[in-house]
Amino acid sequence: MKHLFFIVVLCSAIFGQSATATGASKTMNPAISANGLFIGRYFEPALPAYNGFILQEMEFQFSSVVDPYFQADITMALHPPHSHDDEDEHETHGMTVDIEEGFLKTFFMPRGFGFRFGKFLLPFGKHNPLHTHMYPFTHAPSSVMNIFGEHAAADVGGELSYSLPLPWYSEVIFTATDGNYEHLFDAGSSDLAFGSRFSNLFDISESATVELGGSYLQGPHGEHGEIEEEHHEEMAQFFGADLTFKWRDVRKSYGKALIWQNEFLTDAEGEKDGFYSILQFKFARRFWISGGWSSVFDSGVNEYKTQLAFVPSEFSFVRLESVYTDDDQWKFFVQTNFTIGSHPAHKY
Amino acid sequence: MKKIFISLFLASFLFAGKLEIVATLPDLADIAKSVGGEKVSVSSICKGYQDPHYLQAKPSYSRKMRNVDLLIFNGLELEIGWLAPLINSARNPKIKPGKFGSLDCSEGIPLLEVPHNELDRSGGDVHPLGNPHYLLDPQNALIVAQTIATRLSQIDAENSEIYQKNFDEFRRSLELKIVEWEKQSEQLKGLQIVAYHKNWEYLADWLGLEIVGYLENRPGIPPSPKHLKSFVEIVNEQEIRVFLAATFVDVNQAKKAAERTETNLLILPALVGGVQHVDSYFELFDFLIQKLMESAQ
Repeated sequence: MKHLFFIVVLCSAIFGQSATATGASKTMNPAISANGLFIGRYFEPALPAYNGFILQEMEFQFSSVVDPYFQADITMALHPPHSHDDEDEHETHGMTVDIEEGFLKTFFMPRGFGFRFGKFLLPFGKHNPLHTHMYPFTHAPSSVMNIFGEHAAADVGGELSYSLPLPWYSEVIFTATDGNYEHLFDAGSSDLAFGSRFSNLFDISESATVELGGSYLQGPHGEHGEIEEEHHEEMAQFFGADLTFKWRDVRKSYGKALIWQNEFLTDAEGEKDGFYSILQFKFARRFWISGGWSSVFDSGVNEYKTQLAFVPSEFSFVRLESVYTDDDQWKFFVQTNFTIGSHPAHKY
Repeated sequence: MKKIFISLFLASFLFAGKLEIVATLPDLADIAKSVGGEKVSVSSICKGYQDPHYLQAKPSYSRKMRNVDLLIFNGLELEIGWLAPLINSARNPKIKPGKFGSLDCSEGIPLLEVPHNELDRSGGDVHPLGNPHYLLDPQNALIVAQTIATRLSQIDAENSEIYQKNFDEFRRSLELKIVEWEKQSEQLKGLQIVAYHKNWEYLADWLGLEIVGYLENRPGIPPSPKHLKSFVEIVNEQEIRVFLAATFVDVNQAKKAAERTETNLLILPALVGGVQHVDSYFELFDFLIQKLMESAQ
């Protein structure tokens, strides 16, 4: 209900403005795009309930300038319900509707500052702020899912960011949110959640960059009784550190490229710590090969992934993936993706 | 690190009082330097040997844009894949779209290949507003220079006379060079050529070349074996002798196609700085005309 109310408010802000200002004109319509992710799965040992083909996610994005002061972005997703979804979620034909993001960005901040307000993916680490179709593999690494759950963590609140005037790109972000993301926090608590991220990106050559980042998040405990009694009075705290190396043959239109991304995540109690490392290599104009390792230290279970991706254009891909976990589970995926409409350019 | 801070400190004195301009393309940067003269400090995001369609939105580029007074861009969606996220992360209110510090240089350009029917992406990386490579006709640089001069005069009214004087000088020099280039290349009129990508339409239109086919039959999409076969057939049947490709395209693929024909593959800079010793807009056309003349002989 809360989600439904939120989208109605945002949509009325965008479409209401357009309608009154321009009547039936299409020029003020928001940029609209749709993105479909379909996946085929085969698990060995077999899990009959899981094997087969499903619609992994259908994502819709709307983006428009609202007025001289704001821009609005909305991302809605339809996907199969997660294990933690309850009956209050509005489901249609077995799918769950999520407002992944819906926020206003201001135009009137002083130089170097940015501010947004609404629901957004929490800027924690490198993986959490990604929409599903931008994941390096079909699913998030086990170490990320161990903390954030099956989907990226998003919350309602405000985000202030500032790019520091340094010889390299340096950004600091602060967030104050409702603390309503159930997988991390106690949604019933009136306490707010606070987060911060500090990232620095260095151009080590014309073709290569290194990014170093640190993230912090705290909010009301929400582990549904799993946390020991003495911790309940304290705030849940999460820490992250990430290192990303990117290289691309910048002198060629469709040159070779390499991405090596590493991230360590933990909570204050050290009960949910984990690490992943992902290596992606573009070896031909339309082909990528990738490998990944993720470890959840508490359980001691490691996850190994390999993937071959065929990317005919920036608007579609087909990926074949195998996943092996220490508990002798093999998973095989074939995933297809398409994007139609006016989809915003992705960040670096 | 110490050196970087000292350089920044010195640069702050050197550029004090100058208008800071960032251009998306080196050609635009060079024109802006000519018009702005001593009163501006100009840098370019894309290098001449990079494909402006596929630049990555590196945060270091947005850092370049953080403190500028004016952003000059090509427009017609050439920079669609990277400019918007850069403007967003630059957090410079002056250069937001619609602001005075944001200048689309395609204003007033007589465009080629403006589609008159509905487009979709089955045609590849199509440009729905028209072919964006208009800077490869030097006559269009006159319009761009005028656009830049007008905007500089609006932003920095105190020095408007200087901008107008610089523009007049640039126009005189370029008009003289255009006459010279046209004279040099007279025998190219009517020459049939093939090309890798739709980079060269404006150059061909200006010089009177006829482009009879493309290796990429759909922009940004690699040619199918069937298209490659028909490309080779066209080139051989019509005895095409000149095949143009920009420095940043898949040169191996172009070479393979050229080997199956008897064409002279010309790998040319499509932007200022695309090859060594082509460091200005004038030098770019000196080089292009010279190479075209050599291949046609």
